[in-house]
Amino acid sequence: MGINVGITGLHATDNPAPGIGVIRSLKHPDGWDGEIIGLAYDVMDTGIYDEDLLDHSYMIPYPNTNSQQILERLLYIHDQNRMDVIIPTLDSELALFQKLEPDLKKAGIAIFIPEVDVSKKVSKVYIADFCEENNIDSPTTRIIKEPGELDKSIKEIGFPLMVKGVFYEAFKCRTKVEVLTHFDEMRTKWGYPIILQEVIEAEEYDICCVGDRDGNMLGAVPIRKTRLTDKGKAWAAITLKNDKLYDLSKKILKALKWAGPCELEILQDKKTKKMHLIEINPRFPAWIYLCTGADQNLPKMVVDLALGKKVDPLPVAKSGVTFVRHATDLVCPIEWLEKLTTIGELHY
Amino acid sequence: MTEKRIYTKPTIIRHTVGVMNKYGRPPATVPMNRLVGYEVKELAAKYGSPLFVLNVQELREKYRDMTRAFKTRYPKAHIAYSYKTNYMKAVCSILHQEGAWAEVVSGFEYDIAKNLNVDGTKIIFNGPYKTRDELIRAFTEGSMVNIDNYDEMQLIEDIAEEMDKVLEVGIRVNMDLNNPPWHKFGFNMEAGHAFEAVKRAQASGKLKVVGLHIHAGTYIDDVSIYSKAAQGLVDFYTYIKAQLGVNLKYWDMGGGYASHNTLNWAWAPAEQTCPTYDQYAETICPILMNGPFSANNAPKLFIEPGRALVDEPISLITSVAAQKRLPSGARGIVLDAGMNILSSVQWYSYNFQTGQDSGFMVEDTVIYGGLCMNIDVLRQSASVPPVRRGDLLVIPHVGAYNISQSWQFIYLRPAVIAIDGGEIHVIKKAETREYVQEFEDVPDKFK
Amino acid sequence: MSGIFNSEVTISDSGFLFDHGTGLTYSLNETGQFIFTKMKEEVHANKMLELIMEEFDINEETARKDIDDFYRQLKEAGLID
Repeated sequence: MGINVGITGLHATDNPAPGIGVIRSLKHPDGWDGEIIGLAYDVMDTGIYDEDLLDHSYMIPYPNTNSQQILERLLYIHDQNRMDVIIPTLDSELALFQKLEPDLKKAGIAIFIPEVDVSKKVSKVYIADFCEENNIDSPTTRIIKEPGELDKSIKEIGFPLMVKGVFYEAFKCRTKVEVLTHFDEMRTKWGYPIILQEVIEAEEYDICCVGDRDGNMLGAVPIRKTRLTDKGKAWAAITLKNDKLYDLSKKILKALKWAGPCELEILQDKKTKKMHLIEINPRFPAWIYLCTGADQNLPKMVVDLALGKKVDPLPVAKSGVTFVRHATDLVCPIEWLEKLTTIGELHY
Repeated sequence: MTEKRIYTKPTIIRHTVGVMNKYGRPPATVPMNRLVGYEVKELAAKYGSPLFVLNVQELREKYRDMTRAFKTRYPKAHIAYSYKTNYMKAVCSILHQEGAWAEVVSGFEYDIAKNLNVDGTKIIFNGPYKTRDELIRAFTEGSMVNIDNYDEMQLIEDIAEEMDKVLEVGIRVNMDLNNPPWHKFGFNMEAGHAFEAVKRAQASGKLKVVGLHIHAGTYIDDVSIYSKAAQGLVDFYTYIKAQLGVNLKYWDMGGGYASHNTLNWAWAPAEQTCPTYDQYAETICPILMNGPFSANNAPKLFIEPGRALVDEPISLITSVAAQKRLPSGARGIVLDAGMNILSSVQWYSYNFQTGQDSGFMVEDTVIYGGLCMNIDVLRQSASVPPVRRGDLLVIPHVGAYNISQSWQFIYLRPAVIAIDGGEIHVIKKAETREYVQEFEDVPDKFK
Repeated sequence: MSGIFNSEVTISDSGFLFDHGTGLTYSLNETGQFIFTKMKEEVHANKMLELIMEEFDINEETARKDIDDFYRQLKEAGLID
């Protein structure tokens, strides 16, 4: 009997969610022995119109809905189409699945994600503390909680600096006037805290890794993005062989005892060559299929981890593998839209 | 004759971007046809709409559960109920029956407690403004008074002089805990003001510091703020014990515990983010137990929850006065309740659940309060099924602040009923014009 | 024009409505779907109340108001004039 996997994050626009890349990895190279169940938040989540990737699609309530209602829906789906594993792929889902994990487990649905206190340590507000405690370089950061702290922090950081919101947006500022303008905008829009961060003249790298919850790193694929969209999302990238990046990732996952996939954003200072940790995204990146292309099938690994199988660390990923993102149009009958809209499920 | 089909109000909804779908959208309107065992419809018919409904058993259980969570981890823990969140006599009285002490922040609240026969020694008197007479009463009756500022300290020194005895006091301290930090109450620790305040009180010869009070903020769903506050208290106590020989009889972690209501700017719903009583207790108690004392000499620990106890046990029944289509195409409905009795809409995205079966076809709806004021919007967008004039909506979790902050404006304020073990008690009658105008007068020459 | 509707409309058994003229889609609940289907059969508004009362468990006064409101919704949606 094959293993059935439920996957979220199927909306692949110019700012794609990782779900499609995860499914393609599972199906690489010879298809998947089991069913792939798409879990969609909106009937316009593009991936659900790709009948070659999915066996079934179900609508589920948004992750900011009452978790009991989401649980009921997941259990209903589980009843219709058994799901052995769920791989959530969106940042916004993490808290939800952390909460649902015990109930899903009881129902026989496995999941492999970090604990609440672990993921919190690397949220934007706390990550600077985490770096300091673990001797990991990171840009000088000040969390501003009231306007009085602004002047002092600007002096401490110096120009240029980044003004960042806790959840979204970041602006590079060269003068105090620019800082004040963006600071005010951000305060009106999102409230406090607002983050001020040193700008580092640096090379930017991303690494997708998987941790085993005991502090070991089981897989890691470092990349450099070679083409960006206007939103700063990777449109093309190339895999690397870089010991410094590899060792840093290992150190970070060990310090956190991270469980499951994550994407590390690293800047290497051009002058000092120091590696700075900027952010950790608690999920697969949208470019996850590139890892599979570089001989590290991390989604398959996460399925094994979720099922409690013993997993050995993978050999170093192949460098020089490239991806280019390529948009295509899916054509489908209106009945698909109708089914998803009215009964919330579609079987291909 | 064949059986007829079940009827719901005929409705058509246009799909917008992100098509409407009962799975893909929050089905926020699980019907709530019954409250505490009674038909919502019957309650509204008998006691009027709008109507506040208190579930007495739920309130008692919340108190017991919170007490258990703290006492099992810090045996000398005790709840002092934050009166300001809802100082209706019946609500306070139920909590006092359960064993709660009173936490009051004005002479008026103090008076409510005394009127309910709460012993002075079971009242904690906080707040940044206390009058001389109120302070004298509190000290005479043996209450715990936490000093907020130097002016108050001076005043209490004078009172001590007058009473010719050394008065035991608590000092209110604050720390840099929140965004933005709360510096309004008490003396700041980081700036050294708190230490100075304790030193000055001890040196006066008229006061004896026996308590410390910290209030970390309001609606705190990040427990790490409490762990910082608790650690701050422990460090501070250790320091003043060593430096000034202070021995605490109590320390007080204040309030701020959250409830299952989602803040307007929060993305995730409160039931995903709101910590349990056990999580709060587990954060606070082990840190405090590490204070500078042996376990059996631990100071008493007070916590001052309000919202976390009374928010959820009270619901509001309200009815639809009208519905309209806005130029944007969105639907709007007007309710018979407004911001005058739901001041917390400034902070909360309340749920509006139908009080009757209305089908599952929800539509994003702007919910207007009944006041003739443009700002009276209760929610910019809520998923609501088709409703017609007279249909009932239930808003759960409205027990904190709404009643004590309500304003009599345009409409008379509604009744509050308490349901307990199958019995209904009116604990506050609906207002009448006579009641509202009771203290007014029109001098003859104005007639 | 197709009958009383401003353009061709199809409705599925599940109440999913597609307006061929504008490309817009709608959902109707069971009662709305019933009325809509009858309208397509060119049942006159006067007769609609009777049919609803026959089919559904509802009193006349409520049904009359609701049908009236439903026609208004269709008008607001631009499906009828």
